Amino acid sequence: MSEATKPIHILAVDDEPDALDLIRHIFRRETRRGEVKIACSENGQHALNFLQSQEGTDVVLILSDINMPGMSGLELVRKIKEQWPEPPPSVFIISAYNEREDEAHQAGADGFFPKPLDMSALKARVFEFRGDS
Amino acid sequence: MRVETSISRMLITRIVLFSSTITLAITVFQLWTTWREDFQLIDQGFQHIQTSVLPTVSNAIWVGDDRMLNIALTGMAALPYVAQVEVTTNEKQGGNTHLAGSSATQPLLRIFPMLHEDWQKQMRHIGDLHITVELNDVYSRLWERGFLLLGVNFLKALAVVGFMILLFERSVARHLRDLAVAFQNFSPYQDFSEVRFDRKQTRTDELSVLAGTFNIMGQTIRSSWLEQRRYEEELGELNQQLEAKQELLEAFVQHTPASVAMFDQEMRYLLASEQWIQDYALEQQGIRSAAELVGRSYYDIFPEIREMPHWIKYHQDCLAGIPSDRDRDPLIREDGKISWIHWKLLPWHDEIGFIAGLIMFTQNVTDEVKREVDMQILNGKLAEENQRAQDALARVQALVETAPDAILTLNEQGIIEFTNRKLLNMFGYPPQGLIDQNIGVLLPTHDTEVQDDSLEASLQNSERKNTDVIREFTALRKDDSTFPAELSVGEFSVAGEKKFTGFIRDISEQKAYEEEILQLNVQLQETNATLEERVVERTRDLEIAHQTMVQQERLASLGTLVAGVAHEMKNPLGLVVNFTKLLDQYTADLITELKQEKPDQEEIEALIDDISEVCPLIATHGERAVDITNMMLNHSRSNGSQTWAEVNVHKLLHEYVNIAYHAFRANHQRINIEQNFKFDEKSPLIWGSALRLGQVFLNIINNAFDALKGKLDRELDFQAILTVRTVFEKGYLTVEITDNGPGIPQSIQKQIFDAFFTTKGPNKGTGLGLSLSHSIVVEEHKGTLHVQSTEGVGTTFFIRLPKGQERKEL
Repeated sequence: MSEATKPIHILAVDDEPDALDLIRHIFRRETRRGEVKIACSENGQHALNFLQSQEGTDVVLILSDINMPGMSGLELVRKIKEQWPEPPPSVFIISAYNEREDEAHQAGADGFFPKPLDMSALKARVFEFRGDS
Repeated sequence: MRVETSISRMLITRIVLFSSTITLAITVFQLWTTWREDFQLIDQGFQHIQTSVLPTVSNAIWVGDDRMLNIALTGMAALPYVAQVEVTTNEKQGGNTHLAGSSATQPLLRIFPMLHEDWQKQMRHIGDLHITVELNDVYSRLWERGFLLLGVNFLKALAVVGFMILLFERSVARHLRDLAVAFQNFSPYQDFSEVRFDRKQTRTDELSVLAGTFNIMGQTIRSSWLEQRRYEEELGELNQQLEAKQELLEAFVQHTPASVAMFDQEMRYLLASEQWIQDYALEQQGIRSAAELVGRSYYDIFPEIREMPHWIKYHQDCLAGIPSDRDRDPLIREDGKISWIHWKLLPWHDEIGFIAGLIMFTQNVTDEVKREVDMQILNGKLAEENQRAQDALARVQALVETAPDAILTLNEQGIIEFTNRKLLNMFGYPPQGLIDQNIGVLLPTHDTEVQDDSLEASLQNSERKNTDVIREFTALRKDDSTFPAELSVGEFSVAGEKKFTGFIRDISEQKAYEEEILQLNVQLQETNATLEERVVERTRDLEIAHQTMVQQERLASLGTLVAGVAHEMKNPLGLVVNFTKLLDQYTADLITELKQEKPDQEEIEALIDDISEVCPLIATHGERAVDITNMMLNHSRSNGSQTWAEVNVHKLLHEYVNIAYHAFRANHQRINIEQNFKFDEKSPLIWGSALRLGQVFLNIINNAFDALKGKLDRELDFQAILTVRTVFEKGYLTVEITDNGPGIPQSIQKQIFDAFFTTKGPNKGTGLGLSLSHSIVVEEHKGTLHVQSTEGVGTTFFIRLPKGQERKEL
C-alpha cells in the first residue's frame, strides 16, 4: 500500500456487465493497492444519479460505453459537460466503432477508446490523474 | 219626528240670558259712575277745605279766635259725608284739640298741616286739621241706586221678551210647526196635499217661498214616483220577455247541431252548444254540459291552443274586429289526437257598438277529412291499379308483338282469332290476313289430316293435362313453301268459352346449329384436356414462386440482421480479445514473480485468482459468439433447423431485441430507444421452433422500430419506448410487444396480416413479414396473433402460444 494518496475514483458505465468486469480486471491490481477506486453503472441515468450522490462527488473520470439503451454515452457526456459545476469530471468514451471518435469529441468527451480496448493506453491515460487527486 | 224643544223657548232663554247680562253690565257701570261721582264730591269738599277753610282756621288759631274756629269747624262738619273734624295745635299755640261732629263707623281720615306766615315771612307749622269722612253713607247710597237700576232694567227686559215671544209665535213658529207636520205626513205613495199657512200676509216673504217650494217638491216627488212605478211595471214586462228570449236563445244554442261558442273579451265562455262538448270530447275532461263551461277560459279548456300562436292571433284579430275562417285546420289535442276543425270567428258587439267578444262556429270535420283522405288514397290506389292494368296491357302487347315466337289464339273450332306480327311475317300474310281462317291454312295440304289429328291431339292433350305441349311440325307459308317449326299450346277461357294459345317457332336455323354444336363439342373436349394439363403446370409454378417469396422474406430479414449481428459478434469477441490480453499479462506477471528468488506468495495467489476469474469469462464470450453465429446460420438456412424443441422464449426475445436494435442503430445511428422487459418468471419452456418464433419476434420488433423511427423523425422531444412483456396463464404464454409509436390507422388494421400488404414503400419490405408471422404462430404453433393499436398512443402485438408438446416435426 502506497502512502496516503487519495485513490483515483473512476465510474465505469456500460449496459454489458462483462464489459464492466473487464474494466475492473484492468485496474484490479491498482484497486488492490488503493490507487484506483472503481464504481459501476449499467446505464446513463444511474450514472448521473451516482455522480450527484454523496458517494460520487470525488469521481474524476467516467469511462462510458457509447451504445446503451435509454441514455447513450454521448448524451451522458453532453449532460455532464453542460450541467456540472466547474471543473466537470473527465469522460472517456468507449465504442466498438472507430468512426465515432469525432462524434464523441464533438459531444465533449475527453478521450476515445475503440474496442477491443488498448489496455495499456487506457492505463496510461488514467494514471495521468494521479497527480491531480 | 217629535219636537223636543220649541225654537221660541230656546230663543227666549237666549234673549233673557243676553238682556240680563247687558242689564247687569249697564247697572254695574252706572253704579261705578255714581261711586266715582261721590268720591269726586268728597274730593271737592277736601279741596274746598284746603283752599278756603284752612287759611281761616289757621288764622283763627294764630290769633286765638275760638269763635271763628268753632264756626269754621261746624261749617266743615256740615259738609256732605264729613263725620268729624278735629284740630290739634302745636304746643307753642297751646297744644289744644278742637272737635266737631261725631265719630264715623267706616272712617276715611285726611290730615291737612296748618301753616302760618309769621312776621319774618317764615311759614310756620302751627297744627294739623284731621277730617274724617263717613264712607258708610257713600256705600248705602250706592246700594240703593243699584237696586233701583236693576229692578227697572229687569222689568224692561221682561216686557220686551214677552212681546217678542208673542210676535215670533204668531208669525213664524206656528207656521213652521204646520210645515213640519206637512213634512212628517208627506209620502210619495199618497196623494199630495198642499201646505197653506193661516195668515193675512199677501206679499211673498220667506215663509211663503218655503211653502211654495215644499209644495212644488212634494208634487214633483209624487209624480216622479208615479212615473217610476209605471216604468218598473214596464221593465218587469220587458224583463220577462227578455228572459223568455234568453232561454230561447240558450236552448237554441245548446241544442243547435253545430259547435258554437260565445266568448267575452277575455276569451271566457259565455255560451256553448252541447255539440261543442261532444265534438271536442270534453266529457273526458269532466265537463258534462255546456253550462259548466260558462265563465271558464277557452285556453284552460284547450291548453294545447296556448302552443298554437297562430290561433291565438286569429282570436286577437277577431277581438280587434277582423273575422276569419278556415276550411280545414288541424288541432292537435293534448292526448296527441288530431282534430280537423272547420271554423269561423265573428266578433259580437255590445249595445254601444264596441266589440264585446267573439263567436266561434266550429265543425269537427275530422271524420270528413279522414273520409276524404281515405277517398284520396282509394282514388290514388284506383288510379294506380288502372295505370298498372294499362301498363300490364301495354306490357302484354309489347311482349306479344316483340316476342321472338309467332303467337296466335284459336277458338275451340280451330278458327284463328288473333295473330301477332311475327306470325304474319313468318307465314307471309298481310295484317288481318289470317283472322277467322282455320288453322289448317298453316299446314301443308298433303299433310293436313295428319297435322290436324296431331294438332287436335295436342289440344286434347293440353286440355287433359292443362300444360303446354311442345311438338315439332312442318309449317306452310302463303307462298306454299314450308319450314320446320315447333309449336307449344296453352289453354285459357274467356267468359266460359274455351280458347287456345299457340306459340310457333321457326326452327330451321336451330336445326342447322344443332349439327354444328355436335361437331364443336368434340373439339371442346379435346381442348379441355390440354387446358387441365396447363393448369396443373401453372399451379406448380405458382407454388415454387411462393416458396421463393417466403425464402426472400427470410433473406430480407436476414439482411437487416447483418449489421446487428456484426455488432453482437464484435462485443463478445472484443471482450475475448481483452480478457485474453489480460490473461496473457497475468501469466507474464506470474512467471516474472515465480522467477524471482523470493517470490511474493500473496501476489502469486492474487494472480492465480485473477487468472481463474478471467478464464471462464473468455469461455462465456467465446460461446456467445458461437451462439450468435449459429443463430445466423439457422436463420439463413432455408429449411434446416426447424426442429421442434423446448424453447426459452425469454432468451429468444432478449437476443432478437438486441440484434434488431443494434442492426437498427447501425443503420440509423442517432436513434435511442428505451427497452423494457417485463418477463413472467414462472413461465415454462414452450414447445416450438426457435428459428420460426425468432423470425416472428424479429419481424414484429423490426416493425416497432420502424414505427418509432418515424415518430422520432417528426417529434424532437419524443422518448421512444419498446416494452416486451410475457404472461403465462392457463397453459398459454402471451408475448406482448408494445411500442409507443404513431399507431396503426384503424382503416388498415385488418389488412396488416394480408400477404403483400406493406406501408413501407417500394423496395423496403416484401409485405410478407406479418403474413408469414401469422401463419407461423397460428398454423405451425396453434397459437393466436393479433394487434391492438390506437393512433397517437402506440401499438401492441399479442402472440399467444400454447405450452404445446413434443412432436416429430412441424
